[in-house]
Amino acid sequence: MQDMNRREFMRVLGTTGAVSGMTALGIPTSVLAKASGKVIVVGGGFGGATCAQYLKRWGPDIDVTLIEKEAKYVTCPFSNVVLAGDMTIDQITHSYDGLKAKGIKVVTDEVTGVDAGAKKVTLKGGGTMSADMLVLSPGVKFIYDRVENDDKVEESMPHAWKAGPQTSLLRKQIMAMKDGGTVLILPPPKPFRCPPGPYERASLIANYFTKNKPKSKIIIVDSNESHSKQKSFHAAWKHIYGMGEGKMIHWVKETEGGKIEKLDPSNMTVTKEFGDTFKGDVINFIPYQKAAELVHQAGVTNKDGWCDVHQDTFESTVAKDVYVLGDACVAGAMPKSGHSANSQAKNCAAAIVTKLAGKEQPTPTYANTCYSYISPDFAISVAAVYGFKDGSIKKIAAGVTPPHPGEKDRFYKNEAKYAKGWYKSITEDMFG
Amino acid sequence: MNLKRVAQTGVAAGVLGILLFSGAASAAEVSRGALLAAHCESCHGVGGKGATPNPGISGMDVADMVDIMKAFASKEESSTMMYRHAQGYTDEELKLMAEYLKGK
Repeated sequence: MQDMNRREFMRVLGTTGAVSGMTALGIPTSVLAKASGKVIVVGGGFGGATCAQYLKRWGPDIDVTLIEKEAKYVTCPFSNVVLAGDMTIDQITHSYDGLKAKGIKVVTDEVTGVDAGAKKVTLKGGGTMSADMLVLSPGVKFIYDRVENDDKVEESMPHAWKAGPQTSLLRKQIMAMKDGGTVLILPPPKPFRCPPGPYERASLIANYFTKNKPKSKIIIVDSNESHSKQKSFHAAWKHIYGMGEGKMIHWVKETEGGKIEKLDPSNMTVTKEFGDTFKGDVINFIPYQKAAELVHQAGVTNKDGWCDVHQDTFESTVAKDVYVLGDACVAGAMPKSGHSANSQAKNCAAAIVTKLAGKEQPTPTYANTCYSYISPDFAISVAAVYGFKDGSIKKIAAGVTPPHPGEKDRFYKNEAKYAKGWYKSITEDMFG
Repeated sequence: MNLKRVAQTGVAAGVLGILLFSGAASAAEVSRGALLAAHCESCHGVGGKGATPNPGISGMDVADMVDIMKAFASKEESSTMMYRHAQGYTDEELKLMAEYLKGK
C-alpha cells in the first residue's frame, strides 16, 4: 500500500528525484517514516470499532481490516432505555458504513480460530486472513454450571446482557406482565460487563412501572455485597421510587442468604444458597462472565479466564503483536465499560501506529465516563482519569455524582441531558 | 490518506508535493496532545466539534481552555461532569490538549 502510494506520487511528481532530494537536504529518513503494515481488528464494538478508526486516523497507510460477525452493531449502553420503552432498538443500532468510507475493510464474518503466533485468523465463512498485528476486542462470554439450570433459561429468564434480540425479548415480557407483578434482576458476581448496568435497569423498569403498572415491584437478588455507584443509586431510588422490602425497588445483597443456587424456570423461582426462594413474574438472569471464547482459543487468557496485557500498549503478555482490548482484558483500575474500551483502543492504536513507524509511543492516558439513568430525565454518573504507573493503569482522579440531595435537582437533570450527548459523541467516534 | 484520490484527479504537482510532505510527517506521529484530546472527543464530538447538548471545544484560545479546566478542577466554575475529568490532568497536559484542539 505504502509502496503503491509512493510510486504514484513519483509518477505525478514526474521524478524520482523528489525523495532523494529530501534526504539530500539532510532530513533524517525517520522524520518521513510512515506507519505501514497490516492490522486485523476482531470485534466491532466499543474497543474494536474505535481502534480501527484511530489506526486509520493516525496511520492512514496502514491496511486496517475489521472483522465483526454482525452486519450492524447494537450498543449495550442505552439498551436499558430501550428495555423500558423510552427508545427503540433502531435508535441504538449502528452500521459500519462510516468505517468503510474511511478505507477500513469491514468483513462481516465470525472468527472461529486464532493462531496468535502466525497472526492468522480462521473465518466461519471459509478461508483465513493474516496480518502483521492482531487486535482482539471480542467482549465477554457467558459461563454456565455456576447456578443450577443456568444454561437452560435464555428464553424463560432472558439476560439481555448482549443488546439485540435478548433486549427485545425481556422488554416484551415486562410489557406483558400484569400490574402487581414482580421482576427479579439477578446480577452475577463481579467482575462482569457494565458494573452499574443491573441497577440502571432496575431504575428504568421502575420508571415504566410508575407510569403504567404502579403496583408492581422489582427485587434485585444480588450475588455481590456492594455495587457500582451504590450510595447514589440508593438515594435516587428512595427519592423517586421508594426502596426497601415491600417498596418498588428492593435490593437483596449477597450476604443475605448467599449466592444464587438454583433457577427453576417451570415455577419461575430463584433459590439462594441458604434456602430463601424468590418468585418472579419476569426474571432477568445475568450469567457469570469471562473473556469471550475467541481469546481462550487464541491461548491468551490467564487462569481466571481474562487476558493479561501490557497495560500501556494492550499487547498480550503472552503473544507478541497480539493486542487485547475492552471487557476481555485486565486493565488495572479501569472498569469493564464501553467508554473504558474506547479509551483503551485509542492508546492501543497510538502504540501500534508508532511501533509501525519506528517512533516512540506517546505517554498513555485513559478515561472513563459512565452515566446511569434513574429515570429518562434524572441521571447519575461516574468518571475517572487514569495513568500508567509501575506497570499498570492507576486512578489519578475520579468521582461519582453525589447522592441526592447532595446537589440541586437541576444537577441530576443535566446529567440526563449530557448522557445523551455522550452517546451521540461516542457512537460518532466509533461509527462516524 | 486520500493522496491517491488527489493524484487521480490530476491536481498540480506542486500542490501534491506539499501534501506528500505534510501527509508523511503527520502520519508518522501521534502526539501526546492528539492522544489526550482524543479522550475529549469521546464526549465532545469528533474533532471536538460538539455533540448537542455537549458543547464544542475546538478552536478555543489555549489560555482560556487551560483556565476553564483549572477552574472546573477547583470547582470555582461549577460543572456536573467536568470537575472530575479536569482534576486528572497536569497544567502541562491541559496545555497540550488545548493546543491540539485549538488547531481543529
